Amino acid sequence: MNRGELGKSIMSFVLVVGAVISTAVDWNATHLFNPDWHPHARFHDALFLMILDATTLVVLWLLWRKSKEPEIGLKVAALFVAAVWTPFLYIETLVPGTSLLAGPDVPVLKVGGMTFPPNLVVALVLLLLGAIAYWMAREPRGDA
Amino acid sequence: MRNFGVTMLLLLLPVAAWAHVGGSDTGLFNGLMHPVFGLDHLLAMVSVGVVSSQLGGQNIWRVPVAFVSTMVAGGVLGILGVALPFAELAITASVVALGTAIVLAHRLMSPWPITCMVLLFGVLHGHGHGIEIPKAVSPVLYTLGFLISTSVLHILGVLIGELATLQAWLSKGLRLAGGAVIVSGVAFLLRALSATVVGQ
Repeated sequence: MNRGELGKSIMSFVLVVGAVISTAVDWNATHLFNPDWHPHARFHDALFLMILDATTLVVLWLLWRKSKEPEIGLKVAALFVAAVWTPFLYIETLVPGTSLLAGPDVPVLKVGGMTFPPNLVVALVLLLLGAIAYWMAREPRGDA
Repeated sequence: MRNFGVTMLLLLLPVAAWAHVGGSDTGLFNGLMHPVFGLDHLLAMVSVGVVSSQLGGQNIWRVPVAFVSTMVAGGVLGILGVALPFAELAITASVVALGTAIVLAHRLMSPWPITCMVLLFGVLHGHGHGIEIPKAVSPVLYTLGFLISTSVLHILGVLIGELATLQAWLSKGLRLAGGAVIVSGVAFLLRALSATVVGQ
């Protein structure tokens, strides 16, 4: 396994884990089947999950298909990872009344006085891994 | 055959009873954090990634996949409450063994001894996570959490291993780090032995 393949494998891991973890966490009584949620809010969560899972499959295909321009598939994968996980960093600020926490009993990670909800930790780790994967898999630039 | 099917369904009843317990975030969070905040687990998981990188080729993914696969089996045993004799001692011994592997592993050696060792360690570490599952959390999400966390730590180890291939002094430094892992493992082992003796 060369460096490029390793980078693409790590990118695939990031894509698959992102889809699986989102679906697993939301597909239960705390989110999608939460009786306190308005049916239309549930509809939007289900819609988000369906789009995420389907788009992840498309991006995986783009990443691994035989192509004369493999760099494009890799760039799309990296941008997709950024598009999915960077909103966790700013949505609370951008949209008043939203929260990263699904409820008051959700445990948070505390480091040096700062609190990190679990979904934010996942987002940060996946963004970091996605960036490393892109760096490893991209074609080295020639001097020409 | 029909009896077998009914028996299997009855065996699955406890799993059905676990459904819809605890918040999804809680189960996943506990699972994600368990390998990270146990230093013995953390060192072992990262070491598996480093060793797989040192073995090179297809072993970069084969060895971690072997570990994670048997970890699921061990996790299920732990969640079901099946006791493994001297499991805690064996987990600490695995840190010593994996540290030794970092010192000795190279691309020309046969990967099978290390792969077999890693298969066994996967069961032990999975059992260690499974047996400590908090009450009232979903076992599925807890398992998913520690599997993802473990995979990320393996990837971290692989990246460290790959980084070490860039310079000879980094490669030497990695083998020294393997020595440090051995020392840590011996310390964990002595502590676990003391706890076992005191427990008796």
